[in-house]
Amino acid sequence: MAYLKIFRYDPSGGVEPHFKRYELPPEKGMTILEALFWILENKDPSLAFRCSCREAVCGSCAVHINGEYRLACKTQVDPLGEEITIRPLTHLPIFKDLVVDMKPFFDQYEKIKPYLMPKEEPPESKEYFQSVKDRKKIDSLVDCILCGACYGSCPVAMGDPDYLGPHALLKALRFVQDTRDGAKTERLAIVATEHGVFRCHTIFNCQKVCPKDLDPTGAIAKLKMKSIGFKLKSMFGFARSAG
Amino acid sequence: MNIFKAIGGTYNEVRLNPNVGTWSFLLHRLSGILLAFYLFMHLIVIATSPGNAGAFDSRLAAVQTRLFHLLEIGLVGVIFFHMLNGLRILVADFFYLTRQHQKLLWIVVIIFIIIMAYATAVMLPKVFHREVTEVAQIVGGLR
Ligand code: SF4
Ligand code: FES
Repeated sequence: MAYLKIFRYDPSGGVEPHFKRYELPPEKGMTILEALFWILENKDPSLAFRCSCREAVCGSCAVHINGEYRLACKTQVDPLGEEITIRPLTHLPIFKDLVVDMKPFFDQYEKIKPYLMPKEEPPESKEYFQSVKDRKKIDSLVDCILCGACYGSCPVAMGDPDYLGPHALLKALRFVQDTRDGAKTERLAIVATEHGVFRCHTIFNCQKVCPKDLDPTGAIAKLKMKSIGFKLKSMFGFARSAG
Repeated sequence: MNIFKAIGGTYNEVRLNPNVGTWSFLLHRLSGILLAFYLFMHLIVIATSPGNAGAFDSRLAAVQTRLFHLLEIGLVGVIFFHMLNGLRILVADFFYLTRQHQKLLWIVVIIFIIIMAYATAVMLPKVFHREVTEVAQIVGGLR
């Protein structure tokens, strides 16, 4: 028999933050997300949580489960033992129960201009060319589903609300390393700041929790090196527009 | 951010992320603060000490007590932890060894233990107002 202890809070409905305990039916293979749905349907229709794809693709269901940020849809109840504690993502304002306001998270993401800014027009009625080898450079980086687990786990995000965050920095590297992109200098200028890569303390929590097994710490390390190069170049006045 | 909020927030971070990464970060911060505090006190003691050699010596003699010798061992610990962990982070960042950070931490721990064992062996006799050679003689005599 497993019990879910869920964080409940409703600022608009006057409900103070507290934990509520629910008993789950014994069911093999049940995920945390299914358990939340079971509670919603059978015990408490007022429970609020987020989800969409139910298959670890959309990144909406990230919560803190028993000591780690994880995707509710990708985590099974069974291996977690009898008592399972679920909290919302940290460092983001809470709307209700497990639902947080993702706006600050996506605002940071937007700052790094998460879209291709190509050097030139594509060849006539064709797509931009990218070799298999060049595509490999961004291979794992494109897998980020923007779930926010890394942002929640990052102690730096606690102290600095303006910190770009592991998600945005990982995505910044994705575009910096994309051979079709032509705005490398502009991108490095955005991340080479005190609220960007230089704020990262290399704590490794983002790498630990990423449900897609990405390495945001490693991505930031790479950006740090590129940022140092960029800073030195611009200090000595020979920054080139793209390179 | 006020200090209470910072302490509460830090406590929360450690509670919600019980990983080696969080712990090493926390210890790194604390050891950094301790070192800054030590440096400050050290400079005050030196800077405010009287000009002549005799008075300077007697000022320094004031910290040659058992307690201070014991604290010195702690100081060596704090310095070496901060230094080695800092090197670990630099190595992880500069050589793209972020996936190996746990292994790097073990290396740090092993080197730290070796250094501390040596430092304690050399410095502990001072706590009991004895010289290392004296202790060696006593140990030799026991054999
Ligand atoms: S890097 Fe990983 S943890 Fe962070 S938002 Fe992307 S998928 Fe989620
Ligand atoms: S519901 Fe889409 S990732 Fe979990």
